[in-house]
Amino acid sequence: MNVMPFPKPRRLGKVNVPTVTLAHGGGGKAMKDLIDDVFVSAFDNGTLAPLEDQARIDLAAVAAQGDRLAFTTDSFVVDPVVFPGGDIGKLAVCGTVNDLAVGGARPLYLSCAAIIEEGVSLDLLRQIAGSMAEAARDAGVGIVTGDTKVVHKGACDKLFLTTTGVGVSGKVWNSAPSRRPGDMVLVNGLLGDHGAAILGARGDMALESPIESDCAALHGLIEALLAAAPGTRALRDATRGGLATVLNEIADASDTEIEIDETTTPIREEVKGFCEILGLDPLYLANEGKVAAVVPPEEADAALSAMQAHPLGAGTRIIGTVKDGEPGRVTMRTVFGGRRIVDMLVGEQLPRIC
Amino acid sequence: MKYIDEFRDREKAAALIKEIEALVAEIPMAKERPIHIMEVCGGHTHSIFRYGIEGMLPKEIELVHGPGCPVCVLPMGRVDDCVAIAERPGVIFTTFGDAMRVPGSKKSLMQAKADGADIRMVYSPMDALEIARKNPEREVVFFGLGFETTMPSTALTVLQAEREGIANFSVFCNHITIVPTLKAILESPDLNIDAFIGPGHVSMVIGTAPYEFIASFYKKPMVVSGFEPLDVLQSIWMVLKQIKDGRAEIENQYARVVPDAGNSAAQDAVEKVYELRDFFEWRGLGSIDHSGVKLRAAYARYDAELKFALPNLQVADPAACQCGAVLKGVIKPWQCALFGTACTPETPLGALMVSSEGSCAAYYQYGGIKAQAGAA
Amino acid sequence: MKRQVNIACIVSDDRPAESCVGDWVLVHVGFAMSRIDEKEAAETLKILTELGEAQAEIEAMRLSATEVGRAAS
Ligand code: SF4
Repeated sequence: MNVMPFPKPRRLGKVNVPTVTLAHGGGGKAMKDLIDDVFVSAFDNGTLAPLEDQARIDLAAVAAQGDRLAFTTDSFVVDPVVFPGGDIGKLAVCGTVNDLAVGGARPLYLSCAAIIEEGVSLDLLRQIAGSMAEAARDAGVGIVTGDTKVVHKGACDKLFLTTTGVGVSGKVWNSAPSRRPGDMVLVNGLLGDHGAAILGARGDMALESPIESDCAALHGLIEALLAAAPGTRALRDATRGGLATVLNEIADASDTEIEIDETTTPIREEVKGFCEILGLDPLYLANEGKVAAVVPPEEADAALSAMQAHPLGAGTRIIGTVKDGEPGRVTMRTVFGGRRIVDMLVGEQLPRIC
Repeated sequence: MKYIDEFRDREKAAALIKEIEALVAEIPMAKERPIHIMEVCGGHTHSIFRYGIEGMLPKEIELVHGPGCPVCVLPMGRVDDCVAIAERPGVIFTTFGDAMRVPGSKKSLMQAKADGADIRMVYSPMDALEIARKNPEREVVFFGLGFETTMPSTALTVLQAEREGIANFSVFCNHITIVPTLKAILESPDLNIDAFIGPGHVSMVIGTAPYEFIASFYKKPMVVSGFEPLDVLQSIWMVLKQIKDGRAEIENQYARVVPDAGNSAAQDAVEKVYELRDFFEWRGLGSIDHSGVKLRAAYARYDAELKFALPNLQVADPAACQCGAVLKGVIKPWQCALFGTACTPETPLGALMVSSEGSCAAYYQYGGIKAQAGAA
Repeated sequence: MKRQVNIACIVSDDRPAESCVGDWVLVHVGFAMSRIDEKEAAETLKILTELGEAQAEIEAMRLSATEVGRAAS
């Protein structure tokens, strides 16, 4: 008797209605069609195609790249799901890739779990899966396993995505715990774009703005940085809570003070204007393609030029230094010459009226 | 940005600081005790902390952060009323963002939203009216609050609603007026303030004449000021010159925006739509006569207070709260027993901890609870 | 940045809406409340610039005075 070849070649299912209904979550043919139509056809890779309950990965090939497995997960619930400069799919790939990259890991595989609200259009889902696939391809990672659920209207907001990422580290760099006075703080470009783009896209404030999200996968940039500055002491992607929050985390973890200089902290005029109108502080606006790096002073120049040479780091600036001051405190020398404390944000930033 | 960056110039600031130091050296009083200057407006408090102005000034000058933020001074009872309106079925409650966190006796608007009320943040009352246009089957209520700065915009929105015959729009009016409030502060027996930095945006509406009594009757200098850091520094410098010369006048540093007569179109709209209330309750300051406005009878159908039955209860401020003393410059925020312990920006008890412009919140956020804790 | 703004407060019979095009205005909660007076803005900045210049002059005078003092001694 012949053994059936594996993976079994099969025809991908197709959904012929315009919107998702609860029937697509029932586990039957409708659900298989949805998964095929939206995800499998977009992600299209040998590991995912068999559509089993797990992805199986050759350990030896992974181990050859480093001695440590890096493993992370993140959920994405952004509203609106499509915004200038990206969508929730691109975000879900880049966000998890970045979480691996800031640990010095090379990202390899992602999983993707989707919770879909009934009534969402198939075209929207196809578009989002398409941008996930594109982002994964650009980042050189495979989306190798996944899950799909459909929930009642109102039980989630259009689409929630969870991506889990696996990568390898250890060859090049392991995050060193201590920061020393004199260390330099670098950031790879303009701050606050993502936060401003999302707030603008929500439309609540009826502001038309040209600002686009900076959503990008940073592992290439980080690899270049670590090669040039192997003594790098800390890396954080400045996502929710913005630069101010990650600097506070770094200062806290290392019992040092960080002082940044407002004149060298790069913020786009449009973002400044946006914040001026709404009474927000750009230091607390989210980024999705910005990393804050702390490097020893003797490697700062090498780090700066390596980052500036990378397409995602052209705008890199040295924005501050680690000081022997109040442990855990972040301060800023303002454009005006004064000094202020840049504290952790309490709750959410709310637009001020006065 | 034009008219902004020029007013944030480091070199001009350094020159001003030198002048200020020289002036202070010539004021004999400064050798005995600090000079207390109150900035009335929360916007100034924000600039002062945002740009680190306090640390640039000579130590003989102490800034007292005034009642400024109209959001913070809302009493709990009014917030409870908001929540009651917002939780009515069919209502869309619209508000400026920073009012979301103000605590009521049971919950804030933020908590009411989490509990299911349809509460939406808007940038402008016009946006609230637009929501009413789009949702004719719903009752849309706008939470009108603020000093004279926002009063005209709410009034113009009511007039617009009337012109278009929009019946499902109303205003929960909590607008307050600056002059009676200043009077109440000036009248307090333990007052400890030598001069005032006057509100810029309020003044672009009402002009500078309404402040005359501060100079003529209370003999305190005041300079109406812009909001950029150089504006604030220059105003401090002008105030000090008055003190040194023994003058008490109302001066206008913000002439590029504030005409001496104010804005007559805005004043007309205010006059047309509102009348004074006999008194209005303030968080931390108690009841102040004639300090609030309500819609005139002619606009009763746009008055949420009449449209909906409200609990309208008075809720006393927490007993240990010392906001009044902080406001009048008698104590510094961190000298209040509740500061940073029971009263924090996450769980504000007093008015001054609510929005980032309240002086307690500003100290907590920028001036550094960490520094205080480190010193202790 | 673009947004619709109400201009009822800054127009009048002798200043029609058309005359506002290109003006800088101060906008608060979606309402233009004041036209920025360029002359006054320049005036304010001029005072501040002069302050700095006057200080620099005094400083220069002080320096040359010490120079003279040194030369004399
Ligand atoms: S700490 Fe709280 S209660 Fe005390 S004065 Fe400040 S705001 Fe009022």
